Amino acid sequence: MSTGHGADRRPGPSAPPGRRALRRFVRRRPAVVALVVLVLLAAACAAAPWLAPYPPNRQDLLLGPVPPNRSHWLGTDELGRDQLSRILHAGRISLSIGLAVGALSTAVGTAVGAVAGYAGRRVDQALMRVTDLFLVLPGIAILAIALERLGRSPAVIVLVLAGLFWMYVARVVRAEVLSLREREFVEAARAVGASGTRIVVRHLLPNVVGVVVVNAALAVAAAIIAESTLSFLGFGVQPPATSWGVMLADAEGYVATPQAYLLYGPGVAILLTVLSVNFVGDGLREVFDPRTAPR
Amino acid sequence: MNGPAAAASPVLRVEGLSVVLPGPHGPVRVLDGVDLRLDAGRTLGLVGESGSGKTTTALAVMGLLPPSARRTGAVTLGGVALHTADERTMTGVRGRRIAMVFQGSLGALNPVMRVGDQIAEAITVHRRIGAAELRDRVHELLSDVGIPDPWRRADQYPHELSGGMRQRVSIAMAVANDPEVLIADEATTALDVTVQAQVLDVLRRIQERRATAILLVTHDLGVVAGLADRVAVMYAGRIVEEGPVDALFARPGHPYTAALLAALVRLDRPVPPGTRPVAIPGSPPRLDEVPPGCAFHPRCPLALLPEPCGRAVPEAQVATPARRVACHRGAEVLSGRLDPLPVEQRAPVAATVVSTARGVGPASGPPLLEVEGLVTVFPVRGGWRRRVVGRVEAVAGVDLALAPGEALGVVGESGCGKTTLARSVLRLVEPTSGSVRIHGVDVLRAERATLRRLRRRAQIVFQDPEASLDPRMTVAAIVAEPLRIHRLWDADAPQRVRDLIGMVGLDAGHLDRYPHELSGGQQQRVAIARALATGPELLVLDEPVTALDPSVRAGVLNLLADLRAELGLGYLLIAHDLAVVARTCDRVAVMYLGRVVETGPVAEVFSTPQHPYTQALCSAVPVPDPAVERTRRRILLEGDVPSPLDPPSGCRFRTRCRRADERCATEVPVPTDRGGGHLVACHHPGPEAGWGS
Repeated sequence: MSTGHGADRRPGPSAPPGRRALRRFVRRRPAVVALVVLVLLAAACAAAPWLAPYPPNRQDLLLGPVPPNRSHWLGTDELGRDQLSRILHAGRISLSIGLAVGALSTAVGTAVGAVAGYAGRRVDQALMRVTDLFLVLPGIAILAIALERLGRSPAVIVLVLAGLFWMYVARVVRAEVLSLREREFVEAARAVGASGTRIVVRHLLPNVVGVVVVNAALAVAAAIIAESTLSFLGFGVQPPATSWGVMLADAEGYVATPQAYLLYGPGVAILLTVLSVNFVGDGLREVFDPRTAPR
Repeated sequence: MNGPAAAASPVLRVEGLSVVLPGPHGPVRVLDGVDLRLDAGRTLGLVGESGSGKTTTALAVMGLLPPSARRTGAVTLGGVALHTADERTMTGVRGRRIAMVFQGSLGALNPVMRVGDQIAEAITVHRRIGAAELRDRVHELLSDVGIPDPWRRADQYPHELSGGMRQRVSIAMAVANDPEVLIADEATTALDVTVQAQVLDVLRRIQERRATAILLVTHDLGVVAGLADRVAVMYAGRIVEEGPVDALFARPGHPYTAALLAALVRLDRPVPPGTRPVAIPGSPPRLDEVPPGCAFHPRCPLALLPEPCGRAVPEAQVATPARRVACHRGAEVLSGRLDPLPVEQRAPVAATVVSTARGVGPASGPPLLEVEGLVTVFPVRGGWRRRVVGRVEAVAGVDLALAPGEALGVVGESGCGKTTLARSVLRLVEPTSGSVRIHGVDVLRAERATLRRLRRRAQIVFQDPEASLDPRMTVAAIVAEPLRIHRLWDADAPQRVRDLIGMVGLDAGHLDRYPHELSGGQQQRVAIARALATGPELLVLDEPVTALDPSVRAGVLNLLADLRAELGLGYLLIAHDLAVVARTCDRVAVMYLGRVVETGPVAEVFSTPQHPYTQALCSAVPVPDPAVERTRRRILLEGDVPSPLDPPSGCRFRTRCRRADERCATEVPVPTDRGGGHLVACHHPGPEAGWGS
């Protein structure tokens, strides 16, 4: 009832769109905090060889599992390995797999969805059947075969996980593009003489950024969890290398024991990452939408 | 409209009604001290633009405001105080003593329930009634609202009925329990004029028969003129003027009412040459940003600033016993001492502008646009293999010609193919056959490169300005895009963008805005600037002012007239509103079911229509003059537009035409010249007087 009538009363923001977007992001406290957390986490993991107080795989069988104390901040596991050091090293694998899978699946999914939605008809039918095919594939079985055949390097894990995740983004982007395509501003662009590529790149994609960013954040989180499932089943990263998922899986047996502290480190790390990615995604979504007023 | 219950006793009284709704930036006062009085068996027109609070008033009376709303003031229905009533009491009142008809007739009906059952439900929720009696009552109601064959219709689902039929069903549901008050909230806004005329007729008959009091909520002063006894005008949550319909139309007391009335174009009188519609500057305020003092003062030609208009909210003054005007200068205006429309606004445009705008005829030079035998067919797909199961001939053989600098209006009701025609001409939809030439260049056979060059010369402005602008682009980027696409972006281009923005009446301060930061009128101006960026000679205007508020329309139409005069543009203007075409165009083409039935100079076609359909169309448009509107003879069309999937043979209008004979069923009428370029495609053309009433 009260939309669309703001005549000249809003003071005109005069900065160029890029700076306005940045300003909008900076005003969103949770997103900024989350970004800082994420950057710190990533930096700490990247610097693990120098930061970690102990080598990640140094065992101290005589020490055994000890709860957090002054020399082992997060305690040690049953082999006497320092938890903090292991988390930092594991984070390198978990974070890179999560971010890489998020980026890759989003890129593929967005491209497939945009093309299917804009081209329509046969192209749409073909691409969507392929998408459906991927959706009904028994993911774990495929993973197992692929990893057996291609080796268990992180790169293969990323490729396989991205191959299992892109469909969700594709479906959402396609649906969004299908409705955007019918909007008059797309027709106006065609009437002006814009090519199909220009319409997709300049008009459609910027308008789906919101859903894409949210889905990308979900994909990052899902990939970190999925990697742990894989590792649990024995298809993920192999010892002595470890990941947050592997550590969590290893510690599962200690839930109601004095060694429950083993769950906290990797658990909190995963939680922090997933939450941060979500908050950053949320902030980005709002930044890309000029309709959300700068606060 | 004097119903049988002529005794003036108020059945509904609203006193000091204020409503505050929570908004994102704090509470918003959407209604401020609204007083209304509706007498038994009478009709009160509640007129206002979007955001004026007219719908909120209706909902507040019904007790249907959202729970977060805070309401103060009194609502009394026949002695019962509704503002203190609890929800149980209100449930008993709603639908039994006050009923409401909404705008969206499809959304108001349950799609999975037969219409007969829905009407029956409206009755049974309020009283016990036997099955046989109930069935009879439903059929009686259906025939009361003019639905033929009620026995069959009662067993149908909403999607099987046309829009007009569904709205009649809504009315039948509303009057099922003989309510004392019927609230019609924009009940005819979504309908075509000929269907609107039918539905208004139903309301009129219902009132005569049942002495129902009607609160007619609308933005259309023409609708009010024919139906209402009294009129209340709302602006920014307040009643600015209230009075008997004749007096208010004859002598408005508030500058806003005066401006709204002056902005209307009457079809029954030709537009005097050289006159311009009055444009009210600015646009209606958002309710969270209502100006202090009189809310209308920033747009008012009479405002005394700063005192009193900019400071004090004007009280409703009782001017004459029957009239109230909430304006600091209302008394002066009503007494005739002050003219609410200052001279410069009514002055005719400069003679040069007039001569170019109205004087360019088809004779000057080769045609800008030639359309011959244009056919656009849409396949209808069905079944799981999406095979073509039918075809809709949206445009079924249209011939048109447009000279440089000429404005041709295309009018018709929804589904007549006028929008498809507009898009086909620019090849935004692919026509099936025929030819379109712009300056002799064949559009339909043009290669990619040729088409791109043509796009520079022919542009389009769409109906919904908000939808036609990319929400992620700034105004500057939107206007610059055509220049970039056509590689016209050079050192002078930024200046060209600024010039374009100035040309459409905006300023450089708007360049960094996003579309959602602009009002509807401003958005449409941006769309026009974009269309002008490549320097076209032809503009296709697809319902350019339909989505705008009435007080904003005149400004955009004036702009279009000025641009045409200055730039020598040719316009192909698509509109369902005949008044827009009467005001803007030199010639008009009337379409029915994909074909042009009549074409000729605007003044001639609208004053002496020769085709029976044009006659019905013209007669269905409400005239904003109560005296004329009440007495004039109306040609009501029977039934609905036939399905375009299976159009009638021969003349497509014959199924609803009173002059139809066997010849009309077998032979497609060819357009014949009735003199002066006035072409009519009818076997029995002739002026209206020639056939029975």
